[in-house]
Amino acid sequence: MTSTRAPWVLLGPACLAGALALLPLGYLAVRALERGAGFAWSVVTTETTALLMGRSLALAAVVVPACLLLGISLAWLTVRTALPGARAWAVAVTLPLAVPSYVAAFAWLSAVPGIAGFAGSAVTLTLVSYPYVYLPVTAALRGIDPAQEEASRSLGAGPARTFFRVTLPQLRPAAAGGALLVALYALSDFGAVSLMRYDTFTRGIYTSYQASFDRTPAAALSVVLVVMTVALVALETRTRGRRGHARTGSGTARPPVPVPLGRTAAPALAWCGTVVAVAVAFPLATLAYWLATGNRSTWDPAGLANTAGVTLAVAAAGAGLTAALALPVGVVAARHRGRLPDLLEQAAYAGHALPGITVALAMVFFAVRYAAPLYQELPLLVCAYAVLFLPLAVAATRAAVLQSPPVLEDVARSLGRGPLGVLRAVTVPLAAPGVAAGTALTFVVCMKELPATLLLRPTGMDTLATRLWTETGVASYADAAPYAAALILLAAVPSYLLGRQRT
Amino acid sequence: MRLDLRDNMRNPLRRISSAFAVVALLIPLMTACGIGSEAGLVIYSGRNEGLVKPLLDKLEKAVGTDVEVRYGTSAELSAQLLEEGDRTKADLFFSQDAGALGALAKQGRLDTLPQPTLGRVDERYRGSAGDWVGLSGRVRVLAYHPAQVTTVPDSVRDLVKPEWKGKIGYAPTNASFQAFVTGMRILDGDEATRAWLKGLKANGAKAYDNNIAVLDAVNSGQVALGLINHYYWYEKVAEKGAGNVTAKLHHLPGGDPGALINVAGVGMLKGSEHRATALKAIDFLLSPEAQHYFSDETKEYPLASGVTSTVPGLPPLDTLKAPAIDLGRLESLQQTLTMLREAGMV
Amino acid sequence: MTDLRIEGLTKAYGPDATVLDGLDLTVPGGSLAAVLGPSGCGKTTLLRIIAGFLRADAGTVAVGGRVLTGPGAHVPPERRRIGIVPQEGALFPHLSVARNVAFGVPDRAARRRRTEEMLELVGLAGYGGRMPHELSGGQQQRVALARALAPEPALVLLDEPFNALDSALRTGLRADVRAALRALGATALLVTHDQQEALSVADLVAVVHDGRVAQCGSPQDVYTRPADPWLAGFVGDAVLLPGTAGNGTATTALGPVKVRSGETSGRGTVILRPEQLRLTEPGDTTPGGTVTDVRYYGHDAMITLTVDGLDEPVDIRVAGHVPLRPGDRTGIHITGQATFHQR
Repeated sequence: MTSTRAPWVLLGPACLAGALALLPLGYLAVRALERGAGFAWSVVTTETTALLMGRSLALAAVVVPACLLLGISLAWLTVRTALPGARAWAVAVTLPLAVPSYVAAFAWLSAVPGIAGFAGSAVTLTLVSYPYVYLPVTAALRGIDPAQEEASRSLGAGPARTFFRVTLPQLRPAAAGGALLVALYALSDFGAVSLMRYDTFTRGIYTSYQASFDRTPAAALSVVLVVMTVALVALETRTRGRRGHARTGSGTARPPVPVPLGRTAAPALAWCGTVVAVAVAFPLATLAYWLATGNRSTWDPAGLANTAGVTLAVAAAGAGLTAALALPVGVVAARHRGRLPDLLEQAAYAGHALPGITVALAMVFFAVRYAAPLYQELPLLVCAYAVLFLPLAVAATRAAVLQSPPVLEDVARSLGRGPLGVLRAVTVPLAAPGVAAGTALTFVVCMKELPATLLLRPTGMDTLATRLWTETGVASYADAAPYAAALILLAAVPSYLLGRQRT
Repeated sequence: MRLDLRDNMRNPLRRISSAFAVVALLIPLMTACGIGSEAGLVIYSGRNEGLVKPLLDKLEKAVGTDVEVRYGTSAELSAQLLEEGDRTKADLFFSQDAGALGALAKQGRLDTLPQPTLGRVDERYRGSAGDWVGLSGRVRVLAYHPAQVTTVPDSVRDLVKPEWKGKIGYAPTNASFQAFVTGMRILDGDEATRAWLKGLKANGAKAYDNNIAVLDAVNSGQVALGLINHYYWYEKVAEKGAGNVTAKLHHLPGGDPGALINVAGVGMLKGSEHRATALKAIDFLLSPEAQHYFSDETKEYPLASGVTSTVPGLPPLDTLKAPAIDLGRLESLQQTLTMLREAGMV
Repeated sequence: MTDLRIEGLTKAYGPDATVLDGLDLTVPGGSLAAVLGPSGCGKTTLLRIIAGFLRADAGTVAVGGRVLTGPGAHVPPERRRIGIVPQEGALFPHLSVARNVAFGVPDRAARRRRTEEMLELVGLAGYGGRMPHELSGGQQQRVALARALAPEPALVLLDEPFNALDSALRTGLRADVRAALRALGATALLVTHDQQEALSVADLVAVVHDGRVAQCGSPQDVYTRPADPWLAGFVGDAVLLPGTAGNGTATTALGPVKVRSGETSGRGTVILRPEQLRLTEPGDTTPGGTVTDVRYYGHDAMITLTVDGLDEPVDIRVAGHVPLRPGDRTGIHITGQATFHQR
């Protein structure tokens, strides 16, 4: 770990990214305290608030372990065992990333109306968010030296004991990072819980806008959400500890010998198959059903293609900006220690647990005052995406940078490259696969984003998500199905690449 | 060296990331080219694009200038308008319900409309300060299954009686139902409303996702009575033919809270730079053409005086005995939601 | 030719974690100096400060009279003109061999020619198109050296560069590295914990202990005249005998021996190398001992004995044939001069 101070060419942009991510907090402070701290406190300390918080935490408390179970088991099966068709499964189990939570929720509701409520919310959120655990754990599993597991076996530990005593502890940082993202997803999701009619904290914030047309209580509640986020991030940082992830020792690790599954092959296949069936095939089948039963007159391929193009472009811009902002933060977080680097990394998470509408209103607040020409123009929407999804890209960048040894950067400095030159010639090219993976992930979530897009999009612009929202607002889901299908299929492309990549 | 990048060189993600960069650079350029066509009128519409776009296209022709429309939910747009304050670009706010207009009016964000415009709408259906007008109305009604119900109750207050146990369908998450409960609170007070909600729940009333599901349940006889908006029934009739819809509608008499008329309406933002055009647009929305559009498309009641709905079988608006409440006060939904939550309905 | 001057270099990572404690070192231009020390002695910190990756708390580093690190001065690594050859080479895995070597050559026009020259110098002409993972460990190290030398640095730092290689490869590579550095007249600093490596490669050996240079001199100097018993033990195998010195001679349990610095007198430690002891026929009058262990290395062997009148066993290195087995009695005879360290 390099202990020198981070150079300004990195710290400057990183601080900029941190400041952008903290914008919603500034807005929340203004709004929450508008009628005095006493009022905000009285909003926050009601019984309802406590109840909603309890329900949100309960949801996270179920979704996170479920995602850990799914993510880790699937990662192990696809990476380390002789699972038939492991490569194909690796791709298939990543695809739920492409399914928006509201589409999944609707599919479940239409098939099993009785699932509404806590159970439905938990099932839906688990099935759409477990890839956040699966992806980093897969990468970590590939990085583990199989010699350690062999040593464990030779010391008399069976496969199960070896997995729990040797393998699992090493997966902890990756799994904890993924669990954090899942927890924040569960806390901030609105689409699934509102369809499932399960009142969570985020739904409370939305209802507060909807029901009282009053931004002060909503802001006060959002602050609570930020506090929960900070607590979760701190928790995750503690599990991460100070250790570096770069493999020590020399030589390329041998590729592990896949664990033969023997008689457990059938259950393992059934497990993977079930997950893919309920998380991917089932929502797709529901959409197919809607498409088949839909009214052909509303079918507008040209409009759909146009909207798809706009969606891709906007999501690409969002992912591009997010990745660009995440790069300095991720590099600083990976290579430098100290209060400022730690703070920067945590700041990146500030906007992530906030409901999209809160972040959007914060952008409205600042833009109309200080950046009027940008208001309701694309750059502002793209900035909102960056605020919302920065942690996804930061986590990916940080992990990618950690994978290459810092000595390479030292050598590059000694050969006459300045900090920026080193970044360009060594750090970024080496971290590129991981950074690209983070960018692809951001791209997928940008495509699915709805609340901020609705408020901040240039007037007249539509993405697949807003179109989907419009269509479900007027008529049957059959009219919305083409947009939902297009959204899932387009988002499946980067998800597919994420599932295929081998770092 | 232990890092093996052979795979990375071929990694398609890498190429994709370069593509991202190119697109990311192009987008601001594309938008930059788009800027400059300043619209002559900006409307924020809380009503769905699929529903009102054809009408607003006509409006554009009628006012003779470029019209820009932002779509969203009424609540989000009103929050956005409040956040934008006097820097807003919006000239008009076209809201799905009276509550959102009431919220903007309360914060002084809406401009008073001229008397000739206001005069075209009954004062029950406009802002008490004359700062917004209703455009179309929807009426809360009881849908009933004729074979199962001999005497339809004349007040929602009766629905907590044992004779209706397990026979009522309602949609607690639906905004219109919630507006009705808010209206009941204004009329009967919080205590009575809370007791009624608990009574309804205790009486085994069945909760459905939305009004359509409630109506379907009445049609199929799953429940005998359903609390819905009138137009769902008329739409169903228009779709399937009167003979194929079993359910009948009952309009509650005597200013019963269950007969609430809520409206979609429009208000002009203070500081609008296009006042003349904006007023022209409101006048267009109150014109027979636009009013008939609502009644034809949505089966809602036209609210401009002199315009009557052509929907077959729809009782004239002035024959209805809706409760007399200031619709702007329907913004106080928060307490309603707390009650619904306490009653275990949402 | 550029010399390296380090004066009073101090670095602490905390109140109780002083790593460098006023270290002084001068390396004449064109020579290859080895910094030898046990793990944790601060040699890596020293190297990182010279390279500019770390800031010193106090002291100066100057190369060719140019102060790089000093009070109020810190030249960033990229402007120091100091090349480094890290452990395991640390080649850029995403660049070809040629592009690795050319990485630090600022002059575009000269890049290609310089790259070829350097690859030829390290014996890898024609390997420019390969990727690092296609090379063996030794070849990677050669490329790392070529890469460090290509920008014509004022100083080259080698950080335990031969560590990861097997011993047969190591010897050859050491010689080649030395030859390459000589050919360019480069000043170089080799950091290592391997005393054989330091002694065999360097013109100058500086032994670092407790954050200072404990001894600095030619390899032979450092080996034959260790400044204290610890140094003697660290730089090679040592025989330490308690003794009394006077008049240029010390008396030990193994008999008298000439000491190098004649003025010393009194009780102290007599420092010898195992190869200075010879086996003789056992006899009643000559000093002797009992063999407890024999370790055979091929080119020589080490015999451990317990000596009458000594608490500690004594090692003797013998070349070729080993005539003894554990349990045998033997006489011992000291040859050459000893270093006497007064207590």
